[in-house]
Parts: sequence; structure tokens; C-alpha cells
Amino acid sequence: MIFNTGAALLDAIVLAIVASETEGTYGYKITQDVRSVIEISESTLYPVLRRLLKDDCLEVYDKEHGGRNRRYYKITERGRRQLTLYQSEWGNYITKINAILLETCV
Amino acid sequence: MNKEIFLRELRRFLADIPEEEREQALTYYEDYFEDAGPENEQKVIQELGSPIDVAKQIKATNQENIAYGQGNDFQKDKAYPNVYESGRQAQKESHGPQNSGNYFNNGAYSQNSGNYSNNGAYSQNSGNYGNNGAYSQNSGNYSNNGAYSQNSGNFNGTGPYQAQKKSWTQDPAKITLVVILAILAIPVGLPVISVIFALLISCIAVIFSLVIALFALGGGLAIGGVGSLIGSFFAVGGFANTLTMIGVGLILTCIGIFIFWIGILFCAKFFPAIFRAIGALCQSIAKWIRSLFS
Repeated sequence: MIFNTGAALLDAIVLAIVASETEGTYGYKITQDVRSVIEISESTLYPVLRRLLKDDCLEVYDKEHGGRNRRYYKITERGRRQLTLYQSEWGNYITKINAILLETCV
Repeated sequence: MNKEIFLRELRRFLADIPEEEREQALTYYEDYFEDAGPENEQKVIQELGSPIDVAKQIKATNQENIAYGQGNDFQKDKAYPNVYESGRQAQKESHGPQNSGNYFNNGAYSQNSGNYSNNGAYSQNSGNYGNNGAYSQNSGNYSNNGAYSQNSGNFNGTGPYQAQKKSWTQDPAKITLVVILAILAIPVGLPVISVIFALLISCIAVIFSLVIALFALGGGLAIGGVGSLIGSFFAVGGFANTLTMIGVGLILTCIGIFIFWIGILFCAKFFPAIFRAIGALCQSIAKWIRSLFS
């Protein structure tokens, strides 16, 4: 991977992954799903989740699993709005980049 | 490194953040290990990186003024250096726990030892250096102008979250060097130590023999003097002879007792002083050894 994954893009990816699960998902699974898309260190995700939590884009609840409480992350209404914003911004962004990068004959 | 050690170290490196945040972070990573399953424990540890790096990233997000607007990624380099290539580039230059010696590092996420000047964020530095980055762990003498630094040794730090010392016993590179040095020093060190020891013993022996000689001389003279006194009563050489023997006897006895008394004085005064001197020497050696490890 040679292109930077900015903080905004990372947020967008995490929001998208959490949003795709109606009941929410947990930290380990989120990390594995993100890593299937981009190469990041596993330790990068916790700060992202914390910030999205603090910004009210995600919410947590605990559910019992295997004899202990597992913390699940779920997208909030505000998180959905933010994700929609990211989606349109991303569409604009890559359209402009594709126009230059992919259309140019080397 | 196993899960317990990782979590314990992580807790230690988060000692300088509020307890609630620390507990939340630890719970997250404890759950993370659980969800990964025991069979993936080593893989997780490898991919998480060192507990210090994980702690640094957690502390990074404590900064409330991380501005991330739409599209401008340059500010976010500091927040997510792991993700950013610029951070990684610098890391390539400086990363690696075996860095030692004097050097200048402007990268992020560096582990450096020895004397150097670091202007990057997320550095672990030991030895003498100047650090202007955030999230540095430094030991030895250095100057740090970054936030979130763990510094030990003498330094000029202006960052918050100053944490504890890191001695050479915790730095694998340094431990290796010290062990190698110790092994190499044996051929020279052992004979030297033996010679010193032998000298010490011979000094003690000399002193002891001196003391014994004193006592022997004194005792012998005194006994000889008394003997002469007694013998004078059985002398056959006449009154002059008897007087002479009495006189010699008395003199010898006196000299003998005097020398014996000197021997006792010597012991009484000399030995406590010797023991005190040895005690002081041992204390200073112990202090020096302690300073190596602290």
C-alpha cells in the first residue's frame, strides 16, 4: 500500500464497517474487517473507535458472550449522517483523481 | 512476550493518563486478546507492536486539539503516524531497537539508543540525545521538547506525562552489550581480581603476624624475666650474681609486659579502624553497583 490513509478516510471505513452490521460489531472484528481492506496496525483502531465514540458517531453496549461481557459498537444517527457525508465526499474525490490519474496516457 | 506481560506493560506505560481512560483501554485490549483466541496470542502481539507504541497512540488521541478537517491530511500525520507514509519513511531511517551511537533522527516511531538528537514523534530513546518529538521514551541524558515523553536520567524536558526511568536492565540491546563485555573481560578481569584478593590477604597476614610477633616477643621476654627472677633464688654464683639475675629478670619482665601491652593496644585501636575501612569500601562498592542498575 503506497497511498496514505488519512484520519478522515479511516473514520469513514470504520463507520461503514460498523454500519453494515445492524446489531453492531466488536473491536476485534472491526479491526479484522478494516485490515482486510487496508494495511494498518491493529493498534491504530482503538484511538479511532474512541474518537468516534467521543464524537457521538458510535455508541457502545455490552452483550454477554462466552461467559464474559463483550463490548459492541453500533452506529448512531449522527454517525450515519457523517458516513453519508464521507460517501459523497469520497465519490467527488476519486472522480477528480481518476480523471487525472487514470485518464493520462503514459 | 505473552498476553499478561503485554497488558501489564501497557498498563505501566499508561500510568500517566487518567484512570478511567486507562481502564477502558486495558479492557479493550484484554477483550481483543480474548476475541482473537489463545491460538492467535502471538500473532496479535506481533501485529499490535510493542506496548509502548500502543500506549503512545492511545495518548495521542488524548490531545483534544487534533484538528482533522476534510481533506487535509498533513495535520493528521501527528495523530496517526502509523498510518502515514511520512511517518513510516522516517521510521525506516531510524527504526530498530539496535540503533546505537550518536545520530540525528527526525522520524516518527523511532527506538534509539545512544547519543542522538531526535526531532520526531513517538521515539524511544536512550542515552544522551536531544528530542523534539512527541511521545518519546528516553533514558539517559537528553533534552526533550515533546509532549508525552517518558524520560529517565538527566534531561531537560518540557512535555507533560513525564514517566519513570528505564535502566539498562530493561534495554535488550544494552543487556547484550554488557554481557558480551563481561565475557570478554574475564581473561583480564579474573587474574586482576585474584591479584587484588591475594594482596588483601597478604596484607592481613602481615598485620596478623606482626601482632603475633609482638605478643610472642612480649610474652617471651616477660616469661624469661620471671624465670630469671625465680632462677635467681637458686643461683649459686653469690650475692652479686643473684642481684644481677633479679635485676635482669625485673627489666626483662617489664619490657616484656610493655611490648605485650603495645600488642594489645595495637589490636584494640588498629582492628576497629581496619574493619571500618573495609566496611566503607564495601559500602561504596555496593553503591556503585546499585547505581548501575538504578
